[in-house]
Amino acid sequence: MMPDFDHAREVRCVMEGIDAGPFTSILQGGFIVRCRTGRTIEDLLTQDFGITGEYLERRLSTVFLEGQCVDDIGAAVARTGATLALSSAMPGLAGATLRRKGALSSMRGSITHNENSRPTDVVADGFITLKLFNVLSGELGPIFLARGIYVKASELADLLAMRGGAFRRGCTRLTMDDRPVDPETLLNSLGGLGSGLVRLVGARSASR
Amino acid sequence: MDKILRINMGAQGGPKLEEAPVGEFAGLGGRGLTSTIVAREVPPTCHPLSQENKLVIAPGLLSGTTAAMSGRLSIGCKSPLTGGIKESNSGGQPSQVLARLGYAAVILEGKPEGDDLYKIFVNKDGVTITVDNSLKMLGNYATVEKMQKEFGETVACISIGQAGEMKLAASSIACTDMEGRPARHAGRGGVGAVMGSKGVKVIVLDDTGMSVRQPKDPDKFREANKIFVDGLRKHGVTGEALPAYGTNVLTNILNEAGGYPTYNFREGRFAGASKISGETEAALEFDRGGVPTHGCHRGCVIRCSGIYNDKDGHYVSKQPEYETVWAHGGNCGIDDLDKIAQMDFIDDDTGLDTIDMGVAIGIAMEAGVIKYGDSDGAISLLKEVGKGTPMGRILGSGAAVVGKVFGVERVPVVKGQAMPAYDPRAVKGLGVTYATSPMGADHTAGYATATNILKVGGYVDPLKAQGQVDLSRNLQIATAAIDSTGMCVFIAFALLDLPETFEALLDMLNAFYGINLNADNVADLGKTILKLERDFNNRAGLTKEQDRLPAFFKLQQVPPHNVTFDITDEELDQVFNF
Repeated sequence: MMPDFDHAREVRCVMEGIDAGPFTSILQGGFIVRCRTGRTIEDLLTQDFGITGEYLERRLSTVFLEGQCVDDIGAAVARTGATLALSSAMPGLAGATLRRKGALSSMRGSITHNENSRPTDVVADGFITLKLFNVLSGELGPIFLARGIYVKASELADLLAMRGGAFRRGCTRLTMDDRPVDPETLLNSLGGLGSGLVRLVGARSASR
Repeated sequence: MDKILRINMGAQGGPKLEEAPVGEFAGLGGRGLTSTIVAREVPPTCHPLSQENKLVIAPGLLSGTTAAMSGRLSIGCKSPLTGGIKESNSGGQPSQVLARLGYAAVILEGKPEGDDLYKIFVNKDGVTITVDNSLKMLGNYATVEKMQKEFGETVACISIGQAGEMKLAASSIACTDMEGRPARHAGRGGVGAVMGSKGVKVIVLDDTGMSVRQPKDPDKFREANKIFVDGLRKHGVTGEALPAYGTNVLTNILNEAGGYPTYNFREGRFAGASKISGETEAALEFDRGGVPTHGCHRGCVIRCSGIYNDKDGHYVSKQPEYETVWAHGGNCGIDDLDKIAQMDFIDDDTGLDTIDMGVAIGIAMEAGVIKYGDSDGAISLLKEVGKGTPMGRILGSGAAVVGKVFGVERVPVVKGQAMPAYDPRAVKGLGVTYATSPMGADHTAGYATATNILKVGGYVDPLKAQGQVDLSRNLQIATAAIDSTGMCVFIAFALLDLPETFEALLDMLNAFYGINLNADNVADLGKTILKLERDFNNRAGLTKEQDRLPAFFKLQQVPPHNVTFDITDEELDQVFNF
């Protein structure tokens, strides 16, 4: 079911340069993005989000679709409502085993994604839950923050409560539905929204 | 590094020293040396805490040189936890210092009568062994503090906490780090109990006046080391992920894969994973003025460790590693990094293996002793160990014992050793290694992912499925070889992807010793070590029937993928067919 995007409140965080640092917990825990779904992960990332194929080849070492390891991002199809997790190279035998097209991929055969597309796949407006791990959080996070991501109000409140200092250092100006707001007031407002959706936007300050 | 120091702790009239040339053991280091000595000199059927067992402490082949990443210390014995041969290794300063003092190994033999506790001091002038009963039942931190006051701030220490003194089977041996903190541990297999059985509380090492070990061909060695370091720095794992987030960067992907053991291996995902992930841990450390990027010994260029401070900026512990965060965190339903860091400190101070303790507490939670998620309850249980209460002694004896005492069926151990942080039902290849390693359930036993570069078992085509058994065998062989160099096993990732880095490692060994080692020789060394270890275990009574995972892994599906471990016993028996 499509989330209620139309009634999402908007929180805008103005930064000197869009820095994903204060938002690490949200970026790794999962956020919703609206996009064209029903097509391959590669098409989704390059065409909808403007990430280059060269970057994907060089940096995108580990991919999970619905919790299963993806070897071929050019074949695995992201359907609406799917959960997609992206990571750069990971340590450990487990990290080497889970990486895409790795020499040890047969060691996790039972959780490998079957990349066959379906005849019913149609490219259409939809949404996915995205998770960014490891250094990809810092590298790709700003792209998604600039575009606007959807998170539960309670998750943003947790972030503010846990890393309020970093949040204050990172954001030079905060607005909620275009009205200036300080972090404490924002925290209180979010508390009243519970699990309702908030659209979080990272905006670059006009001085840059 | 041309001599071996033997100390007979049970000699008449008190401990007796004997120094001898390295002789027949020349060319061996680290795990290669500890396992060779244990296999040759320890009766396999002896009691691990008896006078017949030996504790062998050996730097790696390149320890004490300027080679990067060369500071792992191997500690071997017959394990009181598994009943088989054990090599447990640790970072920290002692490996470098011991090597610079010229020792290829220190071997503690025999067993003293009476209950005196000894400290051993080694410097360029020789070895002194002294009774020091003031150290009794001190934690590692207090012990090291006393040694630093007595011998100077720059010494390196190898010590045991209360758990080792009580000869508990999950006890570790601590090694001091660059700041002189006993925060690096040879954690696995109860090696601390064997040191305790020898009556030795601490070995203090002072390399003042000693110089860095010199290679036979300094120019070639320097050049090879440069290429080696460049390879580590430019690789995505060793140059980026590990320095930025430490090993705990694995939490998120194991959780996403459904292979993150949760609630004592009931589930494969933990709802609180993102609260305790490496990304969160590093951010928290940074916010609090801690250090998210920090080496554990001189010469470490990966720097996967860090300093964990409390909210007021005071030191709590070194940055808890992935295995620790998992064992005390997700495995027990705890999602509070501050509490996990406190438990890490208690483990380090008491001298306990964090994996076995986290799994032991998870089993106690399953038995209803405390509830899942009860972090204060878990801290209280851990403190019981240091106090030596009956409950503490049960917990400190490890997960297998706790399972028996509390009548729990789901006890994730192999050969008595607790399983690390990867569910073998989701990542089955790891399960093969857990089952068949001579060390018991051990994720590092098959860690050397560079099998293609090492040419172990032939080239593996990543696009074709290869048997998990074959891969596990090759990984175990490669790892046994790397463990002998004294190199941190994390170098394996750069070796996997950058052939010139592996060549540089070989060149360093060749330039240092004036030899002509090639990839085949490295693989042969790994095979030889594994065969020795396997043979010891067979003679100790550990046969193929012990090369199995607990039955629940075959019978109980783990969500979210609802998979079981379905590698047959016959396949497992093929791992050691070389």
